[in-house]
Amino acid sequence: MEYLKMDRRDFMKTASAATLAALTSGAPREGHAAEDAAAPPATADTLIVLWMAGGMAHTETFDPKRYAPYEKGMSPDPILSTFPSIPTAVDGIRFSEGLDKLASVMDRGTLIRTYTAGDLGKILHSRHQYHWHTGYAPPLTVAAPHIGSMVAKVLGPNHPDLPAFINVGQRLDQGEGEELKAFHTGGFLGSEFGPFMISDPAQAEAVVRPPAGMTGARYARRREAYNKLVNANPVARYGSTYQRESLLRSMDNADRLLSSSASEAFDLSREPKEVFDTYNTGRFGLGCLLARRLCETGARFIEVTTEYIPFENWDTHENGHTRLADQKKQIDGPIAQLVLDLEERGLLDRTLIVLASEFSRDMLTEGKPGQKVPDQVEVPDVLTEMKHYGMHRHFTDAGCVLMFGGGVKKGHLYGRTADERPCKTIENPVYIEDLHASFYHAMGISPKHNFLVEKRPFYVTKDGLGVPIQDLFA
Amino acid sequence: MAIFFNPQSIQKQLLPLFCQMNWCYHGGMNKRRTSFFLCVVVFVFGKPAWSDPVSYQDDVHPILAERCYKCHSGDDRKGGFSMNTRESFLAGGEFGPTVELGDAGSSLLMELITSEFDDEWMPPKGERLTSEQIEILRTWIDDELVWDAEPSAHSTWKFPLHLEDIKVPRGKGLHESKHPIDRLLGRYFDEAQSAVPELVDDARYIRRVYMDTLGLLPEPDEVDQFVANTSRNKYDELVEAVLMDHRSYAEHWMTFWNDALRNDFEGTGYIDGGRKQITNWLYTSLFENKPYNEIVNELLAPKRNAEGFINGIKWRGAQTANQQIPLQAARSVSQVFLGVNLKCASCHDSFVDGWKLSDAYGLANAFSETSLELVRCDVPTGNQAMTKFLWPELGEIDASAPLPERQQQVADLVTHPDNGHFARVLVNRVWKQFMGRALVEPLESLQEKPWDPALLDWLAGDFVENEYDLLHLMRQILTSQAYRLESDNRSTFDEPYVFAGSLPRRLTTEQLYDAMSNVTGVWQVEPKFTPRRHSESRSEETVRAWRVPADPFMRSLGRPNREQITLTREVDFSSLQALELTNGGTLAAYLKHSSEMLLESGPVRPETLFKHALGRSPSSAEQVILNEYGAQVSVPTDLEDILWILFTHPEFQILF
Repeated sequence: MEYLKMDRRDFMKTASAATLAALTSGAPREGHAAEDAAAPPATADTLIVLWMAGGMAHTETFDPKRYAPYEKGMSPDPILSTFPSIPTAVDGIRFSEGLDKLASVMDRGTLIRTYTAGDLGKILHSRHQYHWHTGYAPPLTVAAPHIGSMVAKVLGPNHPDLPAFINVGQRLDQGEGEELKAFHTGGFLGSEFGPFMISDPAQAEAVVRPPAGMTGARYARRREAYNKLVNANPVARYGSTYQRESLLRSMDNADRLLSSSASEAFDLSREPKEVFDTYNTGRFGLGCLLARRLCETGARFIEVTTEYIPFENWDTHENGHTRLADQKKQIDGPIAQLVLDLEERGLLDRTLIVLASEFSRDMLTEGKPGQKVPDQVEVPDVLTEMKHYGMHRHFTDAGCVLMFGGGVKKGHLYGRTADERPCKTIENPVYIEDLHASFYHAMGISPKHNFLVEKRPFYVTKDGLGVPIQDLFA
Repeated sequence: MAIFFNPQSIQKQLLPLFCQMNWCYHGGMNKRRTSFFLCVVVFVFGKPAWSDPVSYQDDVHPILAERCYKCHSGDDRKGGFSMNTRESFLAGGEFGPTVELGDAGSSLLMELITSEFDDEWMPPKGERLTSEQIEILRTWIDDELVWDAEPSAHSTWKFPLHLEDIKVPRGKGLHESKHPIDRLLGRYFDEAQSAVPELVDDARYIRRVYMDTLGLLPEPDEVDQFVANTSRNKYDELVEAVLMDHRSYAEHWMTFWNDALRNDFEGTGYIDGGRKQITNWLYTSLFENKPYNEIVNELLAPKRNAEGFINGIKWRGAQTANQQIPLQAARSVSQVFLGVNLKCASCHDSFVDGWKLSDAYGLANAFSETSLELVRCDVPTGNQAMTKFLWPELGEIDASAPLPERQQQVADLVTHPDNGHFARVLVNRVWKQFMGRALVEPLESLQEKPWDPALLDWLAGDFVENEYDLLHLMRQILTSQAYRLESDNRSTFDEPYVFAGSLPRRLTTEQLYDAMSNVTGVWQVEPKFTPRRHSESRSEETVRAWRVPADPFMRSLGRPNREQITLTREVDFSSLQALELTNGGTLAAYLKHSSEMLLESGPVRPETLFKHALGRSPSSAEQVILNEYGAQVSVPTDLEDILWILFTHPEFQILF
């Protein structure tokens, strides 16, 4: 990990001399560092979030309950899981069928079964996703940064030529795209810390290459002419050095990424065919492969999503059983392989992998038991077709978060849910601020780390109140 | 710079409190921790003894600001006692002297802050001062009240509610000009004993005027004609001509107002009808040069199609107390039109200024169908909000009146002739658009001392006298010598800020796009809004960037998503933006298409493009570099590259 020792001249350097910004744009300032906000020692250098977009049912994945096979004419009442459960590498922890490879690496990870989503009323997936990714529920009075932006701002990239925050798999021109854009942002931290978006991992290389159709020679010639023209510019004599330097430094950073050997991390064609094939269950699987390469090279925060598209992927409003079998095929092999690959390379101990979703699903309960929100899915009293068989309502009172590496315990289970409907949290609930605090803790960032925006402190965990869950860590 | 912003002082005292008590950014409705119970502050504080002399600025001021200023600073002097200055501190109040210099033990202040009796101790609300804080104050008094606060002039600066009547100095001002702005600034430069910058040449002046006012580049022959014109009146004539193009003006300023009023074609909230556009009303208002007080009146007591501003943004699902639409309205109205930031106070009494929860709810009530219950940090207090305006001395709001009448009453108070903040806030912001730096920053909360208070109030007064005519205000600035001064090329700035010419301005992404279109003739397609025809306008046959939803290029280069009010765009360039410029698909496709279109009428001379883009002819050194692509370019990829080089050039991206 030689690059960790390198000088932070950095992709982020443009933001360091923000005198003009501070003077004219109310740019955020680093907040205080009170004693209780001191940085904890880091147990991870890299954070990889694997996002199960659309609501991943806990009873169908990492918290299986009583299985009721499909029979035409059955009542939904007894159905808690539509898959049988399987053992994992850890005694006492069972997964749902179809997650065999992940089950075999459970001895490397910690499983939280009691993530309790915010009470945001009638469900809007993107609002819960916003909440999960920033710790705050919109609308907000200032633009909240994505957790990846916070990490990027505080820590910078591990490799100076790479963007610190890389987001893989989400297109923003889909349904609820406007809501997605609202949190795929550096917010008040500024665009320097926003996500570097790669919508299709198979095409990732294109984002670090000259524009389509431009040869390397042409790119170099264009760049050279640019440099010459800028240097010959008489306006440089009297124009502000500040903004000019800010632009030119940024242009240099962009150019450096394109010409850096680090950019090879984006090129999946450099993988041996059998490795590529192992990961290639689709876009998400290739995203995991890309995440591994970026992690090896030195990105700081990588998110790979199954992609949120309303009513697609994990967002099952019908055919839940059939579609989940597919979803599991998408994620099982690649995530397990990612764990094993990082382990083999000696990187797992310093890389925190987190699999999570905005909330869970249930067949009957919408929202939280006792605090029901308006149903958005019709569930018949009697199941007459296979498409009725599955978890189609949005459930916020339990959910699974699976973590590997980065200092978390191995083969550990945290939190307990009820074995009968509603299969809700009954022991050790985990809320977003504590979950975030735990991530930040692993990354060596205090949950009270904050920035002054419009003279008010804005904390990395909601109101600075997040508390790391010590029991997760070895 | 506000004393509150002193990092050391915040570090030492204020923030340990904040960090336990910050209620500002409630995001969730996760009620597990309402954080209200954390009023029981555990004061975690490492440094034990105050053996060193305490510093007013670092140690004392934060305590006073946080616990005392609400009642004893600015115009508030409860019990006749003010902490504004050392003198007022020593003078004491109705109960006599508050401190005995050098003798904390005999000082009333110490008695009050350490009192055992509930009806006596200070501060009367909230937690007791910690022993740490009490020790700081004790040492401070024993040390004879050392008042080392150099910026105390700042911290006690308070705008009078009404506008000051400004007497413009007689004679001539900057560069022998008789323009009132220049006469005022002449005095400013005299008093600062600083040199008046030179004037920019005419080519740069005309570029500034076009870009700042219309958001477009002047045509090369317009530049040539203007430079060649020897008439003494040519500056005034240019400004007059430019301001006649109402359509181009309105199109350019839509960006500014859409940011401030967080209006856009797309965005959060629309998915559930939780938001409404005001585009048509806004454009029409600018095009007609509606008086500013009328514009604001129509937004607050909303005219048809202008409701979208005060109706805020509602996401699907539950809303916290301070996400309620009336609270959003109170925050938006005060921030955009009054320079008052109620974001803290809409959750709890503010720590950083004097605004209280009851102030925020008082204003919000005026925008609410039913009377609101005061909710502090998501915990209902059981008390109903009293409807009132931020400055009750301007007039009352009749709480029993129907909603439309109450809205009208707020509109009348906001735009009240005695409400000087209303005009100050606007002229300050327009000044910033033309000069790069406002008279008072930050913009969202007009609290700091302006670098020239007289200029601010003169501009505001002139604006009011001229019936809130936005174009008149712009004319005043554009025709001053101040606007023509060479730009300020410092890269670091001492506090407080000293004016030395305008700051270079980074183009908005809309300006950037439109300026590129000026050069290439290739404009946007599929507009979401079509202005009425205006045959005199140079924008008549174009689709400018603001008229289409933000594409990836615009989003990356800084067009905000307008979920929040945006008063200032980012001034720093970022690496991700540079990447978007370097290999982003949107710009690459645009350049490719532009190159093809340009070549349809034959080979292109690079220096023609250069002159159009940068507003001047290339130097001989620059000409040599351009000629590497040939004197006449006919290869499409070469032309793309020349356009790219020009459009990413600092002289193009930044208005000097």
